[in-house]
Amino acid sequence: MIPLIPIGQYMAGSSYLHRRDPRAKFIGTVIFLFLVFLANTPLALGIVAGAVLLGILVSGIPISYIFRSLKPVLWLLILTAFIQVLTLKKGELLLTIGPLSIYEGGVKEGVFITVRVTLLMISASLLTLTTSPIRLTDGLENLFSPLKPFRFPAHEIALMISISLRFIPTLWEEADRIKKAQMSRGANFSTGPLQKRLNHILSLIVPLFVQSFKRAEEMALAMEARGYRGGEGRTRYRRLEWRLGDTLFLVIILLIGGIILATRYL
Amino acid sequence: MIKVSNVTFHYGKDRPAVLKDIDVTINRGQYVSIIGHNGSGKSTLARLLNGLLLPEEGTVEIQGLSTANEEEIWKIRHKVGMVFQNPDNQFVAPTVEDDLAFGLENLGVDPEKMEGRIRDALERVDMLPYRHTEPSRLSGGQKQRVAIGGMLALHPEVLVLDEATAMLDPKGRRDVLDIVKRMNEEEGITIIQITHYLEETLNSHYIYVMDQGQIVKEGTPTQLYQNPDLLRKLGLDVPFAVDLHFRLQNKGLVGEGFSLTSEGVISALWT
Amino acid sequence: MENVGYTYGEKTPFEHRALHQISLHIPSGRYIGIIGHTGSGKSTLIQLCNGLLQPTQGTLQAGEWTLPVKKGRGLHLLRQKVGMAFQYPEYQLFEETVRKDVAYGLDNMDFPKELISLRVNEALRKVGLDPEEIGEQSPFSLSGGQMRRVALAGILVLNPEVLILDEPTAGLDPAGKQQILQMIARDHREEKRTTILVTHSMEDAAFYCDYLYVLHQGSIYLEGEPKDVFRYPEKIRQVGLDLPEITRFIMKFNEEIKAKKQDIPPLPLDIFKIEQLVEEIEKRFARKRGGI
Repeated sequence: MIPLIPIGQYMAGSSYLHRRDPRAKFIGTVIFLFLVFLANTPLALGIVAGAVLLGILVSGIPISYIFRSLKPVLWLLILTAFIQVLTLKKGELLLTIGPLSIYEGGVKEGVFITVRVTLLMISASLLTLTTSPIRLTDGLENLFSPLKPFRFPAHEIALMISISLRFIPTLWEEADRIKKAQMSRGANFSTGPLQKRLNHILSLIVPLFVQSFKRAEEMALAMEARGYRGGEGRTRYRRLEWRLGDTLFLVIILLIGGIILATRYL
Repeated sequence: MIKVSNVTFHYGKDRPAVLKDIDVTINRGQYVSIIGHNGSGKSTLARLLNGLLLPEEGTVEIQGLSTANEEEIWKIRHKVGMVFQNPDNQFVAPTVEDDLAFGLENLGVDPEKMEGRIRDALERVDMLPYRHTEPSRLSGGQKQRVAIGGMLALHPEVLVLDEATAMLDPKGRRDVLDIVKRMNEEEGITIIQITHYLEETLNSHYIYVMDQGQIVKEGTPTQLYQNPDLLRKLGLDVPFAVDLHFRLQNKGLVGEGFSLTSEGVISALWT
Repeated sequence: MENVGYTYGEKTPFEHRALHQISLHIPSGRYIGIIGHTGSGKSTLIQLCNGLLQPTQGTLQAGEWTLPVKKGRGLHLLRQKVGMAFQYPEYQLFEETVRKDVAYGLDNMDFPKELISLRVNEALRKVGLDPEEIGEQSPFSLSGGQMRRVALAGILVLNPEVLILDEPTAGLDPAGKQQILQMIARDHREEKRTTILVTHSMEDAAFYCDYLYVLHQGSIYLEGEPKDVFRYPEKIRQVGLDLPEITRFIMKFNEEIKAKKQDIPPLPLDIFKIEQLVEEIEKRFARKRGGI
């Protein structure tokens, strides 16, 4: 099996960030993502970057690991940077290569965008890296439960997310096995005429769907057998506890926000 | 006590009957096996026992509660725990302890008491060290033990194993069967084991053999193994020692009777 | 195979070494059994054999191929010669009809259309299915045992020189299990196909295979003909495996003779068929009775 290393897969630990209440982390991350967009000067962006770096250090997760998990989206970053550099015609003309001309403003925007997206990715993955999926879904369910009277299915959504997360490794393994089985029957997923390749992809997707439906059906049966009848009347094993540290955590993030807002008026 | 009376069942109106006129009574604390080849109707019968399926004719009662009664079904499901074939597709939560909690949460158990019940159930299936482990890091046998633990946490009176060992390796299979046997002997939990391996029924007090939706033979292991040819005809495998004893008996090398173990055959050879 | 090793997820926090320094040589035409626990490296080993995985250490020779090959070039040709049936092979079925699904491998080889139909019929018959009867049905409408056989036909249709089967009988009932194993044995005999069977069942390994490898923690723990491998009950039990029931019986029988100090020759350990066992016991006891 190819080990599955998605961006931001939870890494168990007991750092300051790990110990925070998932609700605090979720709210904090959302605020932080806004800050990344608010930061429109090099100084402000620098402060945000510093905060992210601090977050990584506090989390105890190796920096090299975080950067490696960015690798799959690297080309996306480069592409957006290129588009910015090539299309934005602002400021001083720096360079002309054939029909392409590069302006100072474009380069600046390109760098900005790249840094911003990188920071966004890292701060979002810091949330998932330091929060186990179950705590995260518990937190989300709790945050959205005030909406229940408005028929917002907080419990169902949380359960759905949590079951999906639990099945990612299982399905990944299954996809890998089906792919290998079809390769053993001569399927070639990377070369060959388009129509054939399409058929190869079908040979992967159809069995995966058939299996997933079967799984879903069996899962529903097993849940019913264990007395599941919706969110009504259920108790929760895990209870969330909001501590002083969680309040402080949000205060720190708001402080950073204040500083960034202040830089706009400097 | 579990009482299945005159039950008939079809999947869909115009399809052939999967179960025909089944009558089964299982007493408390018994270890019962239901055996038959694939498609004999044994899994359907299992699903009738906790109201996952409802009979078209006849009734299913568990200690006076009937699966025909909508409200009683939920009580029945807490009394009758069920473990299915595929270890992956019954593991709901991201970790072992949360999976055990799932059933307790459904039951509305006080969160203060869950911790103790989870710990106790995990200990009984020898999975306590894996409390915080994710399912993808467990073997099939371990996942099935968690599934059994999930039932034990609910303090069931009956445990139904619906081919729960079919997808396991020999070690996983042995571990699961050992635990089930222990639950029956030490805690008096009624066991209903559905399987197509005859050798797994050696522990049971009573066996039902199913074929084409009907119970074609029933009895204690001793009674059933007297007729290996019939079992073979039904597509079942005969345990090695039983088979060997029978063959030797045909040659006149051992006396009448049968053996469940190799030792038995050997001692029969020297008498 | 020379000193082959394999490591999953090299240079990640999830690095996991699955095989260590394995050396083995499988001559053509053999029926090989691979036994070992879940996680002993069996599935990694067989995936190396048809190039689905490439060795991260050492080299592997398969026919005219030497692995590792850079970027896996041309390995699909190796896979045509080395057929592989994974556990629960019915999970790979996807076409609308049985016939189309079995033909998938040949289509991929650009096999001439006229011949495909012939080969498909042949493969279906080989696995004991009637092409006329089920050829145009959807594979998903079949029973579990039939689906398994269709999937195996989809591999046999390529007529590979080597056939690797990872627990081909998992989850089947005893009757279905015997049918599959007998079909594989017949195919091995008739086609002289090198066959590699991965199994948990000591009985099946002893009964069908002529050479066994016992894997433990990514290394070869024992190898040899069944009668030699099962000569060491202690060693086998140490790695959590068991002897075939028939071998256990023979050992107990021989102990009994010793204990009783009787003048009966012990039973040889290379009996894996119950009929033969009965015969041998009969010989010994007939003589004993005759002597009285």
